[in-house]
Amino acid sequence: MSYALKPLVARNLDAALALAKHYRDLNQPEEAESICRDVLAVSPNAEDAWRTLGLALTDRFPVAWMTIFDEACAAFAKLSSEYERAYYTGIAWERYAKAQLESGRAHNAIHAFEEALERFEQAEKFTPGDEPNPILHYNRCVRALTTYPELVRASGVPHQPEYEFGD
Amino acid sequence: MELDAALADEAVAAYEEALGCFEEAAKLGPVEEPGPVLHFNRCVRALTTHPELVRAAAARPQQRLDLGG
Repeated sequence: MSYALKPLVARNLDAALALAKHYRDLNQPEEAESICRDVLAVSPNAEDAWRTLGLALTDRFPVAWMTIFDEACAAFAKLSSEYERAYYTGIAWERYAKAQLESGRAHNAIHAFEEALERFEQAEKFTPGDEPNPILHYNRCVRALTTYPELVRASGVPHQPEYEFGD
Repeated sequence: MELDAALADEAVAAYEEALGCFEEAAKLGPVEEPGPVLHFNRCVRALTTHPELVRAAAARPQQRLDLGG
């Protein structure tokens, strides 16, 4: 039996995206990812779909960071706002750092948190209005780097990050 | 997630049942409701990307692949 995807009709896209967000809220990122890909198949420039897809991919970092980090960053790179590109790429690095930390790779986590800090600092420059998120995430990364015993310990030991992006 | 061959075969059968149900629901439901198509596609992605499901689907006897109608 062959399996083939069905196209969404254009007027269903908003409802589909709402469902994708709902599945993310239910901690079912693979469902959300599939829906975003369905929306993007019909509307390749749908920014909300790229944003939600990128976030759904970051939800899976704790179990699949090796293969999907680049894909998440590529989704965020599709966003037209300079602020959003920097901010969401910062989110990807921050979540990647947490996944690294949970898997016991403290040096990689430090490197990833530092990348996140740079992105949040960059996002802060382009922040629209009173948006506090870049500063909040920046401070969260700083707190992790300065209070998690594994990170504090590892930061005193020189080390080259080791990444396994798979293939 | 790793599945043994028997579980993978059961999963393929269940996904195929689900495909049939979602296809039926898409015909019966309101056009503006995207749920059945979205779930249909989610099942297709699972069947075509999960290595153990791909293997199990390829190994299934042809008669079991007929969803009936």
